[in-house]
Formats: sequence, C-alpha cells, structure tokens
Amino acid sequence: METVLFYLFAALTLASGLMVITRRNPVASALYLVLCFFGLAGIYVLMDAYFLAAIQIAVYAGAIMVLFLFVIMLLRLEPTELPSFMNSWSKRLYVAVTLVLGGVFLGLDLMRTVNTGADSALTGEAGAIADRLFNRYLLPFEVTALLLLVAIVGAVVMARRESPKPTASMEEV
Amino acid sequence: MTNWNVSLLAPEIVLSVCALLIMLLDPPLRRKRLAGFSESVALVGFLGALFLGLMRIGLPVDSSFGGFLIADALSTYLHILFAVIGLSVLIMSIPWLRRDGVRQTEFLVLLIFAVIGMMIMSCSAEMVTMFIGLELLSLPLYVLAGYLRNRERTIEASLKYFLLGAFASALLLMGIALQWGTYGTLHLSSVAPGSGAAPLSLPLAAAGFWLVVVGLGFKVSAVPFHFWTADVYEGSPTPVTALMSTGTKAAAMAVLLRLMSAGFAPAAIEWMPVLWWLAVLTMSVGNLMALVQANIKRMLAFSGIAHAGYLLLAICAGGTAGNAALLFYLAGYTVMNLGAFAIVGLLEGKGERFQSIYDYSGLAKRNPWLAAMMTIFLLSLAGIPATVGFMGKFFIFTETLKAGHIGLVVIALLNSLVSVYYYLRVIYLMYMKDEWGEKPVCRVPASVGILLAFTTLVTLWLGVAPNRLLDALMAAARIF
Amino acid sequence: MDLYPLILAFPLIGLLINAVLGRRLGVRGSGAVASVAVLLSFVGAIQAFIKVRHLVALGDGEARLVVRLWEWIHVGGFSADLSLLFDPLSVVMILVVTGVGFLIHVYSIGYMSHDRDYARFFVYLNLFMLAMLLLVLGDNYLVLFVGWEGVGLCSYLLIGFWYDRMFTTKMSNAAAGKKAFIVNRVGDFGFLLALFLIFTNFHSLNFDTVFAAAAHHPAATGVMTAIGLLLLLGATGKSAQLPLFVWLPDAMAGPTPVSALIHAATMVTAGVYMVARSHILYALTPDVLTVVAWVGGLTAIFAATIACTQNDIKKVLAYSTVSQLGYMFLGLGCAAFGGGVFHVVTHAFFKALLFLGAGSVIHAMSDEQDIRRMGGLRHKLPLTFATFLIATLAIAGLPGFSGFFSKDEILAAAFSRQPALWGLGVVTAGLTSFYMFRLMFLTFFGKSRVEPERAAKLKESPPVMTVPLLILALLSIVGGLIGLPPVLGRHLLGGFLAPVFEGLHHIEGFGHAEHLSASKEWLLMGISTVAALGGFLLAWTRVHKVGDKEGLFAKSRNGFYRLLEDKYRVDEVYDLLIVRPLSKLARFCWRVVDELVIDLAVNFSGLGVRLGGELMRLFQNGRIQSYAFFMVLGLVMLLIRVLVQQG
Repeated sequence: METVLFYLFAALTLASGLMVITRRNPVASALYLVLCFFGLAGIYVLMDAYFLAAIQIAVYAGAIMVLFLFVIMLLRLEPTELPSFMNSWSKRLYVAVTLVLGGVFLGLDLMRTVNTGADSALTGEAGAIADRLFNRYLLPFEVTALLLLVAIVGAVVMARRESPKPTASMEEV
Repeated sequence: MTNWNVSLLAPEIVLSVCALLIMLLDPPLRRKRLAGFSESVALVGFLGALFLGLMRIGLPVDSSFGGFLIADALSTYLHILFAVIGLSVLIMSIPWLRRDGVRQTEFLVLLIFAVIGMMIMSCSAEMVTMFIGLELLSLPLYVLAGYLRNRERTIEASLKYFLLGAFASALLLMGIALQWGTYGTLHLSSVAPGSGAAPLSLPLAAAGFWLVVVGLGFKVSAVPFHFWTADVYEGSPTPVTALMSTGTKAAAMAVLLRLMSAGFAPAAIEWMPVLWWLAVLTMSVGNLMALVQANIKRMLAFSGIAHAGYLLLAICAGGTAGNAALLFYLAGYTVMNLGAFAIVGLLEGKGERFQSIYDYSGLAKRNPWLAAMMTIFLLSLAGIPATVGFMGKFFIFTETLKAGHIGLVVIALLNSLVSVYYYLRVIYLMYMKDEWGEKPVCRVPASVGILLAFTTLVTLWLGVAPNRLLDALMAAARIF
Repeated sequence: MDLYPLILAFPLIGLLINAVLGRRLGVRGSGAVASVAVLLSFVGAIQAFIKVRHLVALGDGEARLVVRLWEWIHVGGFSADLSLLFDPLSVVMILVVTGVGFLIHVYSIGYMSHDRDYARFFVYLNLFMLAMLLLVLGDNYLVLFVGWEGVGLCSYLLIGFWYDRMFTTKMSNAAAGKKAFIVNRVGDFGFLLALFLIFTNFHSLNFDTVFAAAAHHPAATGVMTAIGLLLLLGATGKSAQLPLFVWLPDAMAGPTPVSALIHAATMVTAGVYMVARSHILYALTPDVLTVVAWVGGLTAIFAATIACTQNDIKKVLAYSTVSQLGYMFLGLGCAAFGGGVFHVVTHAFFKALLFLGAGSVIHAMSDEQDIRRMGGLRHKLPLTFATFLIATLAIAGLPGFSGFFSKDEILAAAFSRQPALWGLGVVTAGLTSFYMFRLMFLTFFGKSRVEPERAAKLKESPPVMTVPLLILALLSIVGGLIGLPPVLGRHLLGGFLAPVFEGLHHIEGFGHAEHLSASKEWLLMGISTVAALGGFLLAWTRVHKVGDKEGLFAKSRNGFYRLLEDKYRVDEVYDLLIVRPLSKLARFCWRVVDELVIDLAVNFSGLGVRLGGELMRLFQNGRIQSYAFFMVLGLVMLLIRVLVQQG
C-alpha cells in the first residue's frame, strides 16, 4: 500500500513538474507548481514527516504560490509571449540528456546493495525538528538567518528603480 | 554536552555586526551628510576580522557547535586570506562607486556578507553548513554582479550567474542528499566510513560525491563547468569580478581540498583519473581560449580558469606538501589577480569603457608606474621567475611530479608555455605600441595606490623569499 | 675592500637610480651611472679572479669561493639557496661579462646620444647585467634558471627597444622581440623538464650535490640521456643552435650595442656555459655528447653558408655568431670543455668588436645597414676600419690572432675524436674567412656606393665610441695568448680551469685526453691557416676584383644561392609546421567549439527569435541553456563512468 502510494505521489510530482515547464500560460504553470508541492507533501506524509508536510503545504503551496500568482497577474504576461517548448531539436537534445541522466540514476539505484544508513529519526512532530534545529544544526540554522537577510537586501537592490542616468552615452564606444 | 564556543566565529560575528550597523545607521546619517560612514565601518570590520584571524595563528585545533565548526590552521589561513580579499575589494570599489555614482550602502553590505559566506565555508566541518556558507557567498554575488541596474551587460551577467549558479547549487544539494542517504553523516572528515564499505564503492554514494564535485567545480570554474565565467566576469563591475575570481575560487577550492584530502582520500584511486582529466581540460581550454580574447576581463577570466587547472593539479598531487603548494599558489594567485583587477578597474574609466586589451597600448608612456606594476602581475601570472607565480607553479609541479604524474606535469608545462603568449601580448601593447585613440588621464587614488604597492611587493617578495609562508602553510596543510 | 660579494648589487643600484632619476641625469649622466655600476662589478670580478687564482695555485682542495646571500627556498626535502659560486669557470665568465659589458656600456653613451629613451635603455642594460651575473654565479640550477629567464626577458625588451620601427618590410621590431621570446620558451620548456628530471632523480638542484650523486649513483641510462638532451634543447634555444637558431638573426632589430653585448658576446654563450657547467652529466652519457658535437658542427657550417649571401652588415655578423657558437658546441661535444670556454672568451672580444665596429659604421652612415650601399669607407672611418680589420683577422683565424688559438684547440679536439667533425670545422673556417673578407671588401674597399646625402655626413665616431674599439682590438690580438697550444707554450686558461673539470678524470673513458703529437698539431694548424687564406683569396678574387662591376649584386640564377639567400627558408618551414597549426587550433577552439557547436547546435533556432520583455529576452537568449547543457553533459559522463565501473 505504501509503495503504491509512493509511486502515485512521485508520478504526480514529476508529471506536474513537467507541466510547469511546458505550459505557455504562466498562470497554468504556477497552478501546476502548486500541484507539484502537494505531491511532495504526500511523500513527506508517507515518511511520517507530518509536520514537514503541513509546512510544505502552508508555506509553499499556500503563501508563496499565492504571491507568485499575484505577480504574474499584475505583470499581465500574455501566453503568446512565451515560446512553446518543443520547438527545436536543440530542446529535444535537452530532453534526451535529461532522460539519460534519469536513466543513469535509475541504474545506480538498481545497483544499490546496502540500505541507507541515514538516521530515520526525523519523524513526527515539531518538537523533534525543533530539537534538531536548535541543537545539532544550530550553526547552519543561524547562518541561514544571515542568508535570509542577504536575500532581502538583494531583493531590494534588484527591485529598486535606478535613478535616471544617461546610459546610452556610456555604452561601448 | 555539546561545545558552543562562539568565539571561534569571532571574525564572522564582527563582520555581521558591521554589516548590520551599516544597514541601520547609514540612511539617517546620510541625511545628515555624514559621508564616509559606511566605508569606515566596513573598513573597520575587515581590519577587525583580519586582526582576529591573525590572532588565531598558532592556536591548537578546536571545534565547536557539536563538531560542525572546525578551527584549524587551514581555516585560520583562509580567514586571513578572505579578510585581505575583502579589504582589497573594498579599497578597489570605493573609487568605482564614487566614479560611477552608484549607491554604496547595499554594495558594502553585500560585499561583507559574501566574505562571511567564504569564511563560513572555510571553517565548516560538514556539508550542510558548507552549503549554506556557499549560498551566503553566492547570493550577494548574484546581486553584486548586476549591481549597475541601468546597464544591460551587468544585468545579463547577473542573470546568467544566478540561473547557472542555482543550477549548480541544486546539483550540489542533490549530491549532499545522496551522501546523507548512503552514509547517514555529512562530516567532511568522515563522510566515507559509516557503512563500513570502502568510500565510493556504493553507486549512489559515488554519484553523490560527483554531484558535490560538480557543484564545487562550477564555483572554481573547472571545465566543462566553466562556461559562465567569461560572460559573468566581463559583465560584472570590476571590483566584483575581482572578488569572484579570487574569493569564490579560493573558498570552493578549500572545500574541495578538505573533501579530497580528508574524507575521500582513501578513494583517491577512484577520483584521481577523473581529476586528472578535469585538470588537463581546465588548463588547456582556459589557456587556449585566453589566447583569442580581446577584452582584458575575459582574458583574465580564462586565465583564471587555467589557474584553476593548476590548482587541481595540486589536489592530484595530494599529501601535506601538495596541499601546502596549493595553499601557497592560492595566496599568490589571489595577490596577483587582485593587483591586476585593481589596475583594470582604474583604467576602464567611467562607465567601464576601456576594457579592450588595445586600450592598454602605450600605457607605459601615459602611466609608467601602472604599466610597470601591471607588467609584474602579468609576468607573475605567466610564471616568470622572481615572482610568486613562478614559485607557486614550481611547488605545485614538483609536488605533482613527486606524486608520479609526469604526464600531467608535461601538459601543465606546455600550458604555461602557451599562456606566456597572451600575457606577453598585453605587455607588448603597453610598452611597444603607441596609444590607440585619446585616453583620459588616469588618476590613482591614494588608497588604491597603497593596495597596488602592497600587492606588487608581495608578488615579488613571495617570489624571492617564499620560505616563511610555505613553512607556515605546512601546518595548515595537515587536514584532519 | 672586497667588492665581489656585492657584484650583484652594483647593477641593481645602477638600474634603480636610472629608473627613478634617469631622465633628469641626461644621456651622459645616465650612461655614466650605468657604466660605473658595471665597472664596479668588473673590479669585483677581478678581485674574485685574484683570489680564485691564488686558490688554484695552492692546488689543494677546491678552488672556489662561496658567498651565501640568503636562504631562498627551504621546504621539505628541497632547498635552494641564493649562493654565489666563484670557481674558475664562473670567474672567467664574469670577467668577460663585466669587462666586455663595461666597454659596451661606455660605447652606448655615444651610440645612444641621439635617442630620447636613453634612460630606459640603460635600465635594461643594467638589468641584463644583473640577470647574466645571476645566471653565471648561481650555485644551483634554479638560480641559473632564474638568470636564464631574466636575460631572456631583457633580450626581448631590448630587441623591441625601437618598437616603432620596422625591422624588415614584413616584420616589426616588436614582432622580432616576440619571436625571440617565444622561440626561447621552447628551449626553456626543455630546460625546465630537465630540471624536473634532475630533481626527481637526484633530489637536489645544487650543482655539487647533483654531480656527486650522478657520478656515484647514476640514474638509468634513459633518464640520463633524456636529461642531457633536454638540457641541450634549452641550450640550443638560448645559444641559437639548430633547430632553434631562427630568432638570433631577427634579434638584430635591437640597437647595435645590444647586439654586441647580448646577442654576440654574453647572453648567447649562456648555453655553452650551462653545458660546460653540466659536464659531468654529459660525460656520463657519451652518446649525448656526440649529439652536442654534431649539433654544433652542423650549425657552424649551416650558418656560415647563409652568412656568405647576406647583404645586411648586422645579419652577416648574426649568422657568423650562430656559426661561431656552433664551434663552441663542437668543442664541448668533443669533450674539450675548456676549449669551448676559451672560444667563448676570444669570441666575446672579436665579435663584440665586430658589432661595435658595425655600429660605428651604421652610426656614421645615418642608420644605413646595407653593404650594397657602402664601399670605400676606409678613408672616411680610419679607426673603425683598422679595428674592424683586426677583428676580421681574428675571426678568420689568421695565425697569431686570438681566434686562431681557440679555434685550433677545438679543431684539434674534434680531430682526435671524430675526423668528420674536424672536416666540418675546417670547411666552416674557410667559409668564415670568405664571408668576413667579403664583408670587409664591400664595406671598406672599392669605390664608394654611398648615397650622396649620407656621404656628406660621413665622419668618424667620437672617442667615447672609438676608445672601446681600440681596447677590444688589443684584446682580439693578444687574447689568444692565454691558451697557447702545447707545442707553443703553456695553456694558462686550461691550467686555471683544470680544478673545475677535475671530476671528469674519475669517469670511465674520460681520463686524460691523449695529446696529439707535435707534428700532427703543426699539420692541423697549417691546414686551418690554409683554409683561412683560401677563404681570403676567394673573397679577393670573387668579390674585390669584380667589386665595382655591374651585376655583382644581381640575383644569381643559381637555385642553391637563392636558397642560401633565403636562409634555407627555415622560418617559412617553422611557420608552416608550427606557428600556423597552433594559431589555427586556438582559432578552432574559439570559432568552432564556442561559436559553432554551442551556438548553432544547441541554440540553433533560439538566437533569432525575438522575445518580449527585457527580462525574458535575457532569460531566453539561449546561451545559459547551452551552458547548463554542457554542465549536465559533463555530469552525465561522470555518472556513466560510475555506472560502468560499478556494474
């Protein structure tokens, strides 16, 4: 039963991921992304990581994707502005390479002899996760705080309207 | 009880505090026209970090945060190196910020955070912290690369760097996940043991290892993961390019070094042939491509790729002496590259107009001192004796030879033979050609002048008397 | 006061003064600073000579002084100190380098008086002296290599000194400099490889250690042979031997004093010095020594034939230099290491004199270098003529002059080792005499072919130029007396150098070379004298007699003559075989791999597509995807490798 469910969720994730990058309409892409996140959340549940699954849905599928959709709609991107996906053999090349990569991983996985040695205690409720975050993984956790700060500063810089300066004259002579 | 010795993070903390101070106090002070506040704070921050790094020399190996953080001679050395890099880039960027009238608050903050990221990478003992350090280094660089929002080229550079960088990070992260999945531990020094099997004998672990190598290879711009380098270096503001070509490369190289000479050293027989080919490809492609570049920043980008190849050679050499040679070369490469980019930054003029190597024609007449210093940096990059470049190559090549890779050394020698040509071409233009069109007179700010004098002296000094540094690096080269 | 430990300091101080103040000192002041610096070094060299001679005379232990400057590299099992080694070999070399160097510095004050860049010139000259002294005095291969690169750099800078002029119609001076540098790098590559091999096998680069180790525990024959051949490759680059001689004729683009100092008297003999220094390594591999001899002999005759057809006064001298260097290698190859060094000394005297004389002619002729437009100059330039004549007699090997003795020693050694090589040497001697007298007749004799406007300005050079000529002329006459053949007297130089080559006696097959009998010795001297006179007569009848007739310079229909005139077209062959393929490869990487494969293959349709929005345009410009594509391709290859290995 679990195995069946796993493949179901995995297929859902992959398929919706594929849809995200092949849709010409950005709104459709965004919605498929939400679906993709749901698939992931399902896999988390299968691994008994209920808290993570909930967070995945609340934060990603909920908050972040809503923001995405807002932006897309505000920008009013017309569907025609994005080129269709499979429009040249070069893109097909990408697909081929991706498939090869997938195949290689499959092969490597099939050859796996030992089961994973990872500690599987990361299950269940928020307490366990909090304990990990604030004990064992304190250093990366704190550095992540800096990372978020940088992300904010970066976003501000990128979004800022540059003071109008003559640019044409500066370009390559 | 876990050891939470925060003092090991002192340089990072000092820098973070400075960055926060700038962010908090700059806007109100700016209104009061208190110019120069942010620069001074950043300067104090880097000097403080440098001082704290220097203070740590000679202290015993220590670790903290449950072994996530390691303070050994290697991390001390790299902290010092990164503080110097940060300081130099700061000195280079101030005239540039003024010249092109760019907002400086965020620039300084991002610069500081990028340097913190490098430092975190250098002292992290396991992969999660290393990865977050890498991101902390990369994110500011993505933004800094596109800092000039009104110029197409820099936005393009930024976007390219961001997309490809994110791609590489994804690969790296997947590699880390596979490592975790197989071994259940991410400590760099003991990634392998866990399962009792020989490292890399498990297929998925091997795949994870190579994914990590690819992710780091992107940062050191090893071929074939180098394609972004030239475009991004060319498009980014010159001080940022200097930071990328020295700091990023050094940080990623250090992690690679920790990985290869600690956890995965027993598996050398597995990765050696691949690294062999990576080194050969990186050197050869870098040098051959540099031959045909007409833009000085692109040329230096490809030359940087070639130098990454020489550094990979040192990893192939392995052993304490090989590691010391790598660290020595890293110092030399940093110094000469910083100097070269400082001069490029001075000469390009407002709006970065003069970046063609032909703009260097007749520089010896216009600006004999700058030309002389540029000559020294270029000769050092080419590996001419009496410069640090020669000493560095000499150490790496002899160590590689001792390790028995004669073919590799021959190829490297041929490569450095080729490289002389394109470095020499710039010298040739500076000294033996007349000026190409009118150029504005280039005034050298005192701070940059000091930086250039310092880098020149170090380039020559380490070329003549490399002993003391190398001896000190032997301690840093013993990696646990 | 002992000046010899400071011998490196003087040129360094001189160049620093000139670099900072040069322009304010004026040409005389600047030149004086540079000259005095070299003079002080020369005094130091003389002091060192006196001390070392004293040690040699004592005859016990090793005749050498070592001055340790500082510990340079000291890592793990490897150490290289910057120590100066004054032994007979290096003392002879520095005497020549600083002595001739001083005269040429003085001469340059006059020669460069009209040049606005005199300060730069003297900086380079002093830098050269510094590097050359380092090369000769280093007590290990690494210091030697540093000096080796240093003189190469100076040579490059000085060849391209007048970078704004054209050397030939096809080649700028700067390009000539670049050619010299790049050709030399090929040699350096060999040299470096040799150093690596020496280091891996003997764990040191110090001369004493390496030679002792090599003599007692030689490495495998193949390795020793490789070391010898690679060192030889380095030497052929620096000393312009086959196959790397092509740069030297083009190096004549530099100012004439530079040609005299660097490209005739000193730098180009560095290869000879290096081989002589490594004599133990060569003695252990007799086959390689034979190769050295043949390279030298063939180069000698090869260059001499080219010299017979050249019409540029400096090019004739350049090919003559290549040819004489060939003699030196011939001597080394025949195990006459002392003889090779002897020829270095005498050659430095007369070739410097020839170049300075040529410089004096060129100076007087307002930069005309073509001997077809000279003639009859002996009346206008009497001093130059007289000294040039002496130098010609010396190089042609007329008895009594310096060149005779050194050449004779080499030929005698060749005769006892390999008569075929001796034959090459004698023919070359005849050719040398021919082309030198041809040059002499065309320049100084016959009717004047000088253009009228140049003829009006013809006058003898100032004393600052002619006095060095006179001193060198004196040395060219008597310089040979330091090395008389056994039948005539004592070989002073040989006796002085003997302690250096002591080690040879301990190597099998390298005992005392059997002396030729006196009658054979006389016979050989007679034959080479006849060859020299034959060359002179040939020049007399074929050049001087027909001198003024029309058609002397008309292109000969003879195919061989034209081949000679085109210098065997070696440059063209190299261009075709090496230069073009290399630049094509680089271009291939750029054009094909980068632009064609990446852009076209991957981004076939993407490029032209117009995309809306700046962000989207940048996002989709296609290159990023191709970059990512290649990253993934690399990754896939890595993973497939894992798959194959594990599977």
